[in-house]
Amino acid sequence: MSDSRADVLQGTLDLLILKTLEVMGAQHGFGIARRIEQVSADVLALNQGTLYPALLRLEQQGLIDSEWGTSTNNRRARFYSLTRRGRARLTEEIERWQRVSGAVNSIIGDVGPADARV
Amino acid sequence: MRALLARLRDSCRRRKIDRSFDDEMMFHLQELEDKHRAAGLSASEARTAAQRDFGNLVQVRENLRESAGFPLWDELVNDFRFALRGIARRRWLAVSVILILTLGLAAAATIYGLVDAVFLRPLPVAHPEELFAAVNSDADRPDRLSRGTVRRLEESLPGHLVAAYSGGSRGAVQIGSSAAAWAGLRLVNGNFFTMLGIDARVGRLLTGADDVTGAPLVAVASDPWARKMFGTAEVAVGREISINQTPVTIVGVLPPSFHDIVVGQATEVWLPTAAQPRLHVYGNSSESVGDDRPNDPDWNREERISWLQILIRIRPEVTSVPAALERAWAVERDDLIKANDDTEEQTRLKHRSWLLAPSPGGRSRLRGTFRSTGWLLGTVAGIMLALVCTNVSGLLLVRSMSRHREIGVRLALGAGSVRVMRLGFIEALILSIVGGAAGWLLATWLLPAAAHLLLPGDTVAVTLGVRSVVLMLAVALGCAVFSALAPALWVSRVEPLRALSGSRGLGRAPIRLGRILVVTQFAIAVALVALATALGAELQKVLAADPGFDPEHVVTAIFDPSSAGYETKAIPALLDRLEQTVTSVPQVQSVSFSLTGILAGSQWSSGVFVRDPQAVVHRSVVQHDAVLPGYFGVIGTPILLGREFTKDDRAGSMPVAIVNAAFAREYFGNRSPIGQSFGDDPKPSKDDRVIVGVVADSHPNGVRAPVPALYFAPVAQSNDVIPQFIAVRFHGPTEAMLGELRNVLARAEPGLVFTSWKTLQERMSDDLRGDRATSRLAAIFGACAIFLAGAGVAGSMGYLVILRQRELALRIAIGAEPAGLFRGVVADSIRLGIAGSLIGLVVIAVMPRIPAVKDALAVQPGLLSALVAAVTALVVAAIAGTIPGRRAARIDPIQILKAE
Repeated sequence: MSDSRADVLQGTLDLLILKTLEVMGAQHGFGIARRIEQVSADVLALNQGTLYPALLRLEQQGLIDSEWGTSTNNRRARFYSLTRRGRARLTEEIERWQRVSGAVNSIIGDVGPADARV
Repeated sequence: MRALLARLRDSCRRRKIDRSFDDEMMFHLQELEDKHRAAGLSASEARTAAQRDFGNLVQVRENLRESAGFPLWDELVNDFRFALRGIARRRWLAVSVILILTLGLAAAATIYGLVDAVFLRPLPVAHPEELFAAVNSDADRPDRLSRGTVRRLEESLPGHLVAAYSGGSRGAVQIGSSAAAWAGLRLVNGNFFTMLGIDARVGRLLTGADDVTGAPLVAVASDPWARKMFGTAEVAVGREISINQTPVTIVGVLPPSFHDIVVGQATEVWLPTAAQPRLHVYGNSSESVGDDRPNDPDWNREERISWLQILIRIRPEVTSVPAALERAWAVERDDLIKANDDTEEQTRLKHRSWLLAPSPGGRSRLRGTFRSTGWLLGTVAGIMLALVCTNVSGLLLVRSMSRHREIGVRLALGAGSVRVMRLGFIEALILSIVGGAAGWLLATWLLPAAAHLLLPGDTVAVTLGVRSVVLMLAVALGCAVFSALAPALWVSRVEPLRALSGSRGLGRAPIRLGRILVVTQFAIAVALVALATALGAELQKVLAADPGFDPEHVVTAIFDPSSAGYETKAIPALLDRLEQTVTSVPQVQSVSFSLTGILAGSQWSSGVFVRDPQAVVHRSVVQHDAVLPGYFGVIGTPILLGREFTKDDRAGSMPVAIVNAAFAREYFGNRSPIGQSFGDDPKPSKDDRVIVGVVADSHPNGVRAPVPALYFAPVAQSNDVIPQFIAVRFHGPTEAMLGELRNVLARAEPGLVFTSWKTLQERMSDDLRGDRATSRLAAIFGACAIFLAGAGVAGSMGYLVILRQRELALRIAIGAEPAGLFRGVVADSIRLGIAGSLIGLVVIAVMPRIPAVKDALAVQPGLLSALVAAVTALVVAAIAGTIPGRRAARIDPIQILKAE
């Protein structure tokens, strides 16, 4: 994995997590990872372990909450959910992403803003 | 901020977070495995695939750990823990380092406390930085002005910018019908407290309206005095008291933080300047008397009496202060010139100008007298700190070197040399902070004692405030950095491979330096100990010598009938009444009075002419005292020849005198002085006194002062002499008798103040207080110096033992006895002690030959003191040498040589 790609991923991972939680409601780490892979049609291949430091960071920032519960397989799992701050941040992040990706697209020749598929 | 707090919280429950993420990641991996198994992979393939999808678990854990805490901080915490473990492993070394630091830092903090109290601390008033004192250009010091000048200045500077205050004086204060007591008074202008921005604790402070001739007499009390006299400050307000027989109302009490405008004094009652003539307060003043007119007894109306010092508040918006001061002074100056005949003085007055000097700390007479002491103490503190740092550095170096193998291993395993050095700094820092804290605590305990010793009789607020804590931390930090430098330098040069093989790589140069340092310390210590011993011995000798009176069971006091309003002609009756009152106390045996008394701080001298043609000396100035009959019996001075005064030696009968043995020797050589006469006129007159007795020599002026030639006259035959010293001989316990005595006197003469009730024994020990202080100070510094020298020996010999480790190991391997090595090291320490002692003895011998040092020394150490000091130094050197000696004896040759 090159440095530049890692940077991009680093910057967008928070956005992806927040959006996933907004769409799916409370979800555990495994659920979030699967959802990102499925929705991106496996384009975004993710080292799933990297989710956890991101989750800890988001929780420290007060953007998400967590609670232990039981998964569909009847296993103990931690469920994360979006807080109000998290929702507000998500809106900001989406706007920012659209601005940045639009700008990048216009430079590399594509027209129109990127479609936020996630 | 929020994220930072959460991170802080998480860093505190790191383990819990680790565990819960572990659980969570296990769940994740299981779910991944399930997914892959469902897709048809075998169990082991599914596990591998799950791990591939998940990524590097160890890396994730590390990332989580970083996010949950502060890596740099964690590293420091780890170093800190490691340093603590290292300190605990060698706790005796740590204890000695801490002890050394405690001593050095306590000395520094104590000295800082004293210097701060005397020089640095601003007055507890609003904006002390705006305060300026008026400085007389002739004398180059703040000087007094007349009340008129102050008034004119107040009028030209609106807004209460001038505070004027008199010198401190004493007044007889009486509350209700209780006995009068002396209180410290100060007169100030009405706006004094307003200008300084001081608010009353209770009631109100003085105002301009109080400072007007004819206004009701009011006073403001200090908080400690109000509480002492009335129980609480609240009760004092509104009370009427009598000051010098005049009623005055207390209108308020000052806050406890404000002691006085003059550092080192504590005024108890503050009065407006207008009260001066009515209360008969005649304190310090400069007075010029002209032939043209007499001076006004009301100092407020007299330009020729300068008695007020001023502080002016200078604000940026007021620019005309110097000019206003010159204008206000002009009137006083012109009147002074008119009163002066001396043209030189007139010219000086004409050219005198007033300058403004910043005065945020108020005035202090201590500053002048304490300056040299302060410098001396500061130098001592500096030397002590330098010695402390050097010794600590030596000990820490030995410690680092003895751990060379461990350090080599750490370096070889990849610890950066910065990190290893940092560990040394952290250890030094921990030791310094512990030493600093202990030193600070010790200083809070030492400071009042030091203030008592060095600033006797002065009330200076000596406390260690926040600034001292900050300073102490800074000094401790400085010590840590300085002490850790040498060990760090050594660590930076350690090469892991060589260290693992046992080499240490530092030459012998530090050894020579260390030995010189140790010898110097021993020399200083020997000189100080010799001085302390000599001072102590001298003090014992003085106390054991016959003072010329019998100090046992005599209690004495000072009183002043004239300030209490007694007329001179009423004095004989007063003395009779006092005698009757005092002898009514059952334990009292006898009582008598004199003018100046013994060790009471006053003396009286005048010229005498001896009439005997064969006298050795015919005219001279001689000290004398006036006493009542029975005085010598009361104080226990034996009559050597002739007789005591009797009631028959009264006014009108033949004038008589009793002389002491020194007087007799000085004037009459070996002949008997009985029957000889002398007088104060050059020609024989009818007032000449005939000597009727000789008493033993005594020390009325000071226990260590030389015996003066002295004559005594009966009070009844001395014009206008009012006795001020009472001596009472009693039996039984002092305290009970003294209480009873004070009670009966207060009842009998409520207006008369008796102060300074002391036994003669107490007067003697008070008189020697300064000597005792010097002797104790020398002893304390001597003990510190000896201790430091001992620590220096332990450190530098320890270093030597480590350097010679291989050689010593070889010697043991080929059959040398460990006990022999031990003896060798101790003998080497003793050699250092001997060298230091010899230099110290030379210093002792040279010291009295330097004039400046000779003046400063109260006593010259003799041979015995020098020997005591030298032996002490040798004993300390021997004891300190046992520590490295044991290290040498414990060397295990197999281990050392195996490392080669």
